[in-house]
Amino acid sequence: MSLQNEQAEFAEVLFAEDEHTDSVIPSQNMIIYRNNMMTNLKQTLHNTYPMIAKLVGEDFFRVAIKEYIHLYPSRSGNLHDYGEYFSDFLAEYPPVKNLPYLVEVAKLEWACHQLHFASDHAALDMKSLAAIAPEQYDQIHFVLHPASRIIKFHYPILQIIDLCKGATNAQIDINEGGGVNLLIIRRHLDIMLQPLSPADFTFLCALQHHNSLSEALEEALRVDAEFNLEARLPAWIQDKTIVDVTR
Amino acid sequence: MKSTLQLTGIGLRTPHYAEFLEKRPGVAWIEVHSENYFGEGGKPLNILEQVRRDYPVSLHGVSLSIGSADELNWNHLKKLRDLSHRIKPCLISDHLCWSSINGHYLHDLLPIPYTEEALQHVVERIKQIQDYLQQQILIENISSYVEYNNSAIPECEFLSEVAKQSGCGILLDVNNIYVSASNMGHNPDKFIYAMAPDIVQEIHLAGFSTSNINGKEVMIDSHNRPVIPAVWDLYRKAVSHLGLKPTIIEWDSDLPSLETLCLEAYRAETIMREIYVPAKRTG
Repeated sequence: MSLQNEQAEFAEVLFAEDEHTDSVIPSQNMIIYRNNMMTNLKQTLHNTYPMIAKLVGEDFFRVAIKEYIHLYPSRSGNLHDYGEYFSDFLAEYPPVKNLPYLVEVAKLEWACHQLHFASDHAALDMKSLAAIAPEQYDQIHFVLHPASRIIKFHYPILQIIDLCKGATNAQIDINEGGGVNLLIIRRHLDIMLQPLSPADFTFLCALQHHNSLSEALEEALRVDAEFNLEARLPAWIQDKTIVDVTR
Repeated sequence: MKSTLQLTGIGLRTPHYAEFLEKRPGVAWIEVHSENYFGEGGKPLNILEQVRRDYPVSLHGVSLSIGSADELNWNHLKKLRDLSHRIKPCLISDHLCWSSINGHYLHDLLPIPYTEEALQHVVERIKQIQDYLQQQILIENISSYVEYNNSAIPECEFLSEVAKQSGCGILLDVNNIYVSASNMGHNPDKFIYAMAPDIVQEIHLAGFSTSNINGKEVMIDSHNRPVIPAVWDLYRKAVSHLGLKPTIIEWDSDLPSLETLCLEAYRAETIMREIYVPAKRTG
């Protein structure tokens, strides 16, 4: 048998619930490799999605991730890349179809996980702003920190986080509205969650979509005619939310 | 720990980061799993760069999948090269195994059949990797729980041939020799003495656990315990045959205190000096 066929068969045995293969002895020990593989993948998902585990309970989480591992095999040698599609999986997973807020929690956890390893960036030099005249606004783009994401949540995600952390025992009415727009950003190596006003959200979200400054400004003003870029910009540059300007 | 070790170090894992940076233990060097630092920034790289200022660092990979029939994962290799440029490691290593096929990763160190076909394949791949990284890599023997029926070459000969033909070095894991030999009924001493001293550039030591599979005890390479006396004995034989070799203590789950881990490194250094010095005088 060729190396290719031998390894394909080995992998098949690991994913099947049956140890039998004629290629190796003792074939009953194949279960060790399967256990190692499953333990590594399960531990990875558990590390990335602790709030999901908390919300659905450990027993249910174990069943769900086993299903996920079968549907979404790992495609990277780096375990930190594993789990990307967990929110998609939860959106389609029949047992939690009536718990759509889990999808948003999973999205938040994946975003935080990614930001943990995302690139660093130096602060933007304020002086580079002085050179920009308003008539150039349609040609320039502000760049958000590479370790940041702007996400709209329809459910009260901050209260859900507090609940998971044990910071509150209050009941949350999931359907009472309470959605929030968040800037999720890594500052001083730690991930911060910052609620945004509708106009700030719209403006930063436009930057995230690589829209020009004039487009972003227009969108923000449509949401709030009082939006004042000159008042907001220095803080965003100082706290490294905006880190670059390109033409 | 006050003493400063010359040759032995530890595998540094996340739960020990803060204490390691605060106490700066006197280990000679440290080793980390390369893939954990494949991100572009953030805390892991920040910590590793701080550690690197004071210690030589070895990048030990678990997913190059050198023995896989798949095409080499160039994206993975690029990340390793970027990390290597950033950290400037003293050594880069991975395992004589495969962990992916048809693009699917199985995240375990899986054995390859020790055949002529596999030998040529592995040699070719290591040459490609070394050309790409522009440096020699070390290849480590793994713990095995099964053997292929079509294996035709003893593992120790296979490993030596891989090194000879590809120009790579060997990272000899003494615990893995013990575990595989016990599981497969081989002689661990024979493995040690089959190694050419100049090709072995590093030694690994670790603890293992046992599991009962259908009524049979199997040793599992779990890196969750202290090194056992039989493995220390094998280490003594390795040092007396191979000479002084940089050694790393690996501990990956059920981590002990940093101090206990460093004491294992201290013990390895003490053994190495006891064994090697008299051998030199009489030799």
